Amino acid sequence: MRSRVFRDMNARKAVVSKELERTIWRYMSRNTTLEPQIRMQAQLALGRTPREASPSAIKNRCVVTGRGRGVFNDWKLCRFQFRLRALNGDLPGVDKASW
Amino acid sequence: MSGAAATQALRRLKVAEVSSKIFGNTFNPTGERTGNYILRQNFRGENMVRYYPSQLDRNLIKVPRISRLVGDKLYDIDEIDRLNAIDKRRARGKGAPKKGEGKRAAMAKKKKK
Repeated sequence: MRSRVFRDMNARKAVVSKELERTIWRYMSRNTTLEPQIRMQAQLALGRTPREASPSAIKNRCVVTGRGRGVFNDWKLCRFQFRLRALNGDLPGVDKASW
Repeated sequence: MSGAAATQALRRLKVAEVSSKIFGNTFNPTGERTGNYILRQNFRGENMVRYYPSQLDRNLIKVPRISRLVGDKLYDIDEIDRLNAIDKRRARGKGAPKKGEGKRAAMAKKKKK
């Protein structure tokens, strides 16, 4: 297990804990019917929430190796682990192409 | 003529307002941004947390241990092969020593004395 995976796990927990708060700030900052000052404050509050609590800071990593790039989201596996498993026949519906 | 058109437009607006009230729609003729699309979005954090398998799942994934966890309901060929190989080695006197009878354990005992 890699430390990056641990970081990502913590980020995911942070996203859950801050989700409601963030949606409120987001709603207030995007609502043009509110007063500009209130919207400004909401935008500042959104900026003050930790970076890891934003869903875009989350990276889908390989479940086996923790690799961050080249991950197939359907299988949560990086390309090499995917290949190994696919050739071994562990992934239902995956075939090696041949024509 | 233009005055008539203006009244027509006003009437249409009023009709739209009343109809939106009746059918529960929003009435926003100026197209102002209310941010309602954010409130409409689903919370996806719970799904995000479930991305990585838990420790229990991790233990289950490790194939040789499945048979031990579940009992002898599951039939694991690799595990049986492994146990057979160990038995053969043991018969030839080549098996792994028991806990506390190995080389290192013996050294530790000597040191204590």
